[in-house]
Amino acid sequence: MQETIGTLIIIIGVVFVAIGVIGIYRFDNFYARALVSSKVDTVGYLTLMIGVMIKNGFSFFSLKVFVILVITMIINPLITHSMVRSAHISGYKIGKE
Amino acid sequence: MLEIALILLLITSVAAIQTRYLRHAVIYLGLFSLAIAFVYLLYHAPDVAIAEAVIGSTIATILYLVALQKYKIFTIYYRLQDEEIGDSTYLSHSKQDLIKVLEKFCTKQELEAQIIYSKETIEAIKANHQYALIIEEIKGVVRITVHPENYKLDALTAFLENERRFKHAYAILPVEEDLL
Amino acid sequence: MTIIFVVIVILMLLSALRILIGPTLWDRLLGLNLVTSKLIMLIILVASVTQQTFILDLALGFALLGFMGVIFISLYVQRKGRF
Repeated sequence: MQETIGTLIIIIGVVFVAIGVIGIYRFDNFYARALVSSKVDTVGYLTLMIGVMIKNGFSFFSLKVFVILVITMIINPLITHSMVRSAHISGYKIGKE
Repeated sequence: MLEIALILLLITSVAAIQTRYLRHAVIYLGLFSLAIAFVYLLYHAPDVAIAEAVIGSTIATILYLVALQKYKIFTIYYRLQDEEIGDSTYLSHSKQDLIKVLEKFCTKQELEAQIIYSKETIEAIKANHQYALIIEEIKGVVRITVHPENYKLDALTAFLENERRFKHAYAILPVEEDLL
Repeated sequence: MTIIFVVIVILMLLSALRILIGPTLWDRLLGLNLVTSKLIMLIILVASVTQQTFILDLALGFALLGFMGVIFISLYVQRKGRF
């Protein structure tokens, strides 16, 4: 029972990640791509890790996965902010202000 | 899974060698380091993979960037009239030969070209950004505005006169120096 | 479970294709970030299938250090060639 629920949640996470990868081929300029891919990718990542934690139950393995989850949740938006700020200051502008 | 990772190694190493921009080569080498860490993991050597993750993706990248500081960055603004800026701007073929000539110039002079498409007016670019060249195409004539402290101006003029592939009519605008 | 591995590897290859064809420098950085996150997912799934806890140290190292390269390259571009 526990294994089935865990696998189901992992599959939901993979679907989120797949939508994010479709998003980086769908749009025409960098800012739209960064917006879509970063948000959806972070959500898929967290969902997949929660699925792995449920599958393994309450153990040392789940604790390590939880530490990775917390680190990722903090760092992933930070990277996207840094990239988009770099593009904006360097002068990549689309259309009118 | 192993074969796919090995093919990815081949593709990234070839791409890192043949690219013209050194900054892109640094990114390709980052991808190479990620793929080879995965290959080490599949060969049952996780400790080597940890060492590769620490060294390849952090220290090697920072060392390459410190070495790249010796290259000056040559910022070229291409001013567009009224089009939307998207992927098609970067890939269209009408501007490609002009850009390729300038890239060749930068490679010969050991500069790192950075080309930015912009829709601001020339005065706004002059006031707000650091630039080396501003290029504008009006009715078939390429107008090149040069920064007053651009010490590569003589080399650029000589290069454009000798280049056979450069068939555009062009005019280099006179530099207005502030006499203060 | 095998299907999940295959799908994640295909997604990783598609993200790597964005690095190879991306028109600007920042598209390539975005692709590098995506490939790193897909690789961490694969490592966690490998550790979960084989039930070996020490493989997770590799994922922890990537999660802690994988962002340094992207942040330093973007700072290098933003400040026009010096840190």
